[in-house]
Parts: sequence; C-alpha cells; structure tokens
Amino acid sequence: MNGYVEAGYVVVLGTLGTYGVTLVARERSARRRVGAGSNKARNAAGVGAPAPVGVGAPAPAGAGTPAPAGAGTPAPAGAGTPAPAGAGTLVPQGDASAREHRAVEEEGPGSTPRAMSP
Amino acid sequence: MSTPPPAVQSGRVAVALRVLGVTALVGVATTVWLGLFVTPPDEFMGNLVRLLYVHPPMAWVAFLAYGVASLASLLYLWPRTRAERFDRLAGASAEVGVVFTGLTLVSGSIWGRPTWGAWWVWDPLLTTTALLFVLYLGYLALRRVPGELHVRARRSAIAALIAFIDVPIVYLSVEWWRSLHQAPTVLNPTTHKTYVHGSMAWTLLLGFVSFTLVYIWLTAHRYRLAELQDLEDTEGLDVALAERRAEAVAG
Repeated sequence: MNGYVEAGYVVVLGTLGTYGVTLVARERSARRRVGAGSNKARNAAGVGAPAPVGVGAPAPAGAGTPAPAGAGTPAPAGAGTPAPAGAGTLVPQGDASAREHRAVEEEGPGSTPRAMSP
Repeated sequence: MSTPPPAVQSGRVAVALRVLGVTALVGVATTVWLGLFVTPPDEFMGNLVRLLYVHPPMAWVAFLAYGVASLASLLYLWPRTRAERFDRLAGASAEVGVVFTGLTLVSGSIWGRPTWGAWWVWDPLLTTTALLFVLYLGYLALRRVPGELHVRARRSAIAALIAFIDVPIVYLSVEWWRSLHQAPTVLNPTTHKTYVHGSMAWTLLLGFVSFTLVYIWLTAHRYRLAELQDLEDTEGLDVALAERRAEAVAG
C-alpha cells in the first residue's frame, strides 16, 4: 500500500485504543477512591466504630445502644463524649434497635421507625 | 451516606460490558483484516479505498453519539423525565462523539491528501464537520463550568440541542452546496441507490456495526466514570460534614 492507508488505520485504532484504556483506568481509579472515601466518611462520622474498651461513656442522645467493644475500626477523637442529637453515633448503620430507639424518641412510643416505614 | 447508583454496583452490567467489549474488538479486528487484506483495490481510488472502511463508520458513530446526547438532553429538559442519568448520558455520549468527529476529520484528511492533493480544503462538508467538532468541544467545556448540578445540566442540555442543529447540515451539505466531497455512496438520498457492492459492501457494513459497538462500550464506561465522579463529590461532602461534626463534638 502507500503509507496513507496504514497511517489512517494507525491513527484511528491507536486513538480509540488509547481513549478506551484511559477510560477504563480512570474508572478503576475512581472506584478505588470512592471505596476509600466511603471508609473515610464512615470513620469520620464514627459510624460502625466501637466504644473504646473501658471507657463506658454514655451513648450520645439519639444514638441508641452502644456498639460491642472490638467491632469495626477505632473511634475517632471525641467519640464517647456526648454529641448533638444524631451526630457521631456509636451504633453501626442499619442497626434495627437503634433505628427503633430513635423513632421512639422522636415520635413517641408505638411509632414506626422512619427507615422501616413504607 | 449515599448509596452507589445501580450501574456502579451491578456485577451483571460489568459482565455485559466485558462481553460487548470483546465483541467490538473482534468486529474491529475483522474489519481491519478484511479492509486491508481481503477486499480488492478500487478501480479509481486504488488502495486508498481501504481508508473508507473506517472513515464513514467514524462519521456515522459521531452522528449517532450526538443524536443520543440530544435525546438524553431533551429527556433531561422534559420535567416528567428529568433525571441525572440523562445528563450523564448526554455528557458521556457527546465526549465519545467528539473523539469520533476528530477521527473523521483526521482520517478524511489522510484520504484527501493523495486524492485531492491537499490535507484540508474549505469544502462545505469539511467546514461544517469542523464546526460540529468545535461546537461539541464547547459543549464539553460548558459542562465543566462550575455551578449547581441542575443549573449546569440544564444549560448543557440546551447547548447540546443547539449544537445538534449542525448534524443534518453536515449530512446534507453535499446535496445543498457544490462540494468536492463525494455524495453518500452507501445509500444516496437523491437516487436511493447504493454504490458499493460485494466484499466491499460487507466490509463497510461490518465496520459500521463494529464501530457502533465500540461507541456503546466507550459511552457505557464514560457514563460509569461520570457516575463514580458524582459519587466521589457527594462522599467528599459527607467526609467534610462528618469531620466538622467530629470537631464540634471534640470542641
């Protein structure tokens, strides 16, 4: 052939290949960052963090029952002290008893927990 | 904590994308093999005809990408169907469309140099295609202008619809104005005849199908990337809020 044809194919396939590989790499890197970000947010919020062994501090208002010692990651600084309602909980997210407790606190006995209501 | 959107979570989507990617790759490889080694040279263009197994599919995919972007933009603007996913789809499709438009221009230029004796001529088709490229580059730039999510999405959607006006102009420019570029050969809109036959026609058809699959694969990945970036932004906000709360508690 004459060089132009080969050049055309190289440019087209090379560009598409490079773009595709770059997209996949960026997607993987974003996925890793999102995963890391989730853990960071979890730790910062104290969600899923255990009560430090021996601290025995009262659960913050609206937080429900304290999490079992040794579960999850260490609590951030400030955990275990009284917190504003709903903030810095010591209860794993999705804990049914905590949801129920919060709903009862907020809406009175016999109310349906918000997260479970249809 | 925000929940990952379904497309990010689903393993089935990932498997489907992988299958699509492999199919597209096989299709492109077969097109290249047929185009370079199996099909005969053209009576007038000689071996240069081999470039046409990739050039028209590039242009078709660019049109398709802009069509999808416009449809998604329209769905975003329509209050009943307004959803972030349409904005993401429009952005993803337009970006892939810009890549294909660039490749249309470059592959056409490489074909034009030995055929017309010039890398570039200010022909109506070439000029309107270059305009299309610039219009959608502008659209992508507009998407990066900071602003509230829905404000940015709305102005981008309007811009995508305005830019799409150029697509039929590009396609019909060879009919409307005196052009150096040849009229459509696969299906001529005036004569309703096809001017490509035999192995050349099949190779070209395979090229159209394969590069369309490549477009779908690229757009799906670009969409997923946009979804993850949005999620990352939301999580960044969550982290900042949680840290502030922790500071307030500590203080």
